[in-house]
Amino acid sequence: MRRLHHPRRLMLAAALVAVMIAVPLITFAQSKPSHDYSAYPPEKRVILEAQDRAIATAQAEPRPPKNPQDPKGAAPAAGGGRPTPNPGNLQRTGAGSGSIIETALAPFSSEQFLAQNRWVENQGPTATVVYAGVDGQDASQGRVMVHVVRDGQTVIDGASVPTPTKHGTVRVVGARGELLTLRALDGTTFAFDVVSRKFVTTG
Amino acid sequence: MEIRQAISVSRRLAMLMLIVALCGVLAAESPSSAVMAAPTPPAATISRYMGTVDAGDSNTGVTGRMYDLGCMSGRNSENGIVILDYGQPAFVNGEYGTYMYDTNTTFVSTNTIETAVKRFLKGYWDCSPLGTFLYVGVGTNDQGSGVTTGHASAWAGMINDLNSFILSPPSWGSQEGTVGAIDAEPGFTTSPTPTRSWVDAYAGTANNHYYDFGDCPGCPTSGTPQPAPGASLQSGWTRDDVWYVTWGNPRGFPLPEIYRTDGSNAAQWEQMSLYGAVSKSGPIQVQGSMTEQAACSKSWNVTYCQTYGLNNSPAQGWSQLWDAVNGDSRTAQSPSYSTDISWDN
Repeated sequence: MRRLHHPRRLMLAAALVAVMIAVPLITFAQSKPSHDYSAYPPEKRVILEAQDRAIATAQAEPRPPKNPQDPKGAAPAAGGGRPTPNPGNLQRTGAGSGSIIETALAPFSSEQFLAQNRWVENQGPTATVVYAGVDGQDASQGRVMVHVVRDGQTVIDGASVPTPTKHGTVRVVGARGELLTLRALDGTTFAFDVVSRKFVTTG
Repeated sequence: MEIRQAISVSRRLAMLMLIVALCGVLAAESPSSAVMAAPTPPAATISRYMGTVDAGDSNTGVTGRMYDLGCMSGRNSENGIVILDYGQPAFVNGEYGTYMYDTNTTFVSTNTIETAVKRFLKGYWDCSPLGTFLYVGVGTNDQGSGVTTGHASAWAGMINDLNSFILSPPSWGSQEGTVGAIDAEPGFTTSPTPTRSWVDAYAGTANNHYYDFGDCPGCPTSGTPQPAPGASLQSGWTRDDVWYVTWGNPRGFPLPEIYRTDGSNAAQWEQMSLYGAVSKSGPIQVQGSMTEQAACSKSWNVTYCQTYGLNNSPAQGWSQLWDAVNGDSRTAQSPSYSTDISWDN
């Protein structure tokens, strides 16, 4: 009877040994730093390793509770969370039913589109922005990008319209209502109808 | 006979168990298993062109848009890095800051941005599950006359303050950190000098690093032809200028735009990494990829993005980058991050 139990004991012992070997080794293997910075130059390695240590230290400490009211005083002082809009020093000129802002800032990579300026029309919760400039891939192709933004948060509509002929980058130089006048560096002018989002011929 | 057979079978089973255990250990130890196989791209985070600094109203208890954005990021269990791109450097009435991407190009000071980012951090902390970790890269770009050393120092000071805020009791450092970020694009500039000076001044003040989420226009996509040493790629920038801003500076780390579906952006950064390996002290380590699928998926923008081949998905962008850098043993590496930039906020 004892001999009949022997194979089971052997298996049990082997399983126990396997677990005793595997668990600590796997735990050790997984607890090693997940990042290998050996390919980094020393000055960058120092930065990254210090960060990893700081994170590990923070993770080893008791976690602060989630969603307490304001444990760090993160809430701005009364009225400080929504500052009065500051137009800064950019040139802003009334034009038609909107205004021209002289800034090249636009939410595109320069490889995609490079702005010269913009025309903005605010209508209640909605604003229409027309960025005027040039293709990032073709310096001869003028283009306008139209964004319609709701509540200052979401781009709900738009268009990307090339100038009908290639005269390089264009800028908005005037407007009548929602009909914009754009001018290229060589003096060629174009008329852009914001409503239809098309370049049009004017009489 | 039966007993012998049983013992023999048991011995074999015992050996098998040991072998399986050892294989498990070896698999856990081996880094090559992750490197050799084509890996699954990391889940992408959502970066944003920022048009808001709405930090809420403590009088009314309104949490504010920044809190909501951070909370959204936390609810999505975002890991890695998120760039909050605040636009163009500026100096107005004695204050450093930026013109941000709202429709009216409003100026916001670094103090205002700092307050706003704190609310984002609070939102992320409140809404994220335990176990995630997010770097918030507070971004600007290299456009215009506001790209100065004074601006860089102010930006670095803001990042230092934000990290002190995170680590102040009760510490959120187990799940959050902030870093600087700059969309350094030669096409935004007329010379590389202001951008180089900006990153140097940032590094001189910052306790932390910065990510360059810019591009490399005119950079080669393959070994031939190589630009002549000192040749301008665009706006007077040489390849060495791009290398310096993105990696040569001790605190610089690249997180480039990998927009193009034809793989050319990824190839440019592989070549930039190789430039480091061959001409400098080692290959640059590209930290991840930025794509713009969120912007390209707007219905009216799809055709434009398709026409110009700019609509890489986050997974495509990251995989292109991984394939490119691992196509040459001299640049082999595994980028960690994937982020996709959105217009909405």
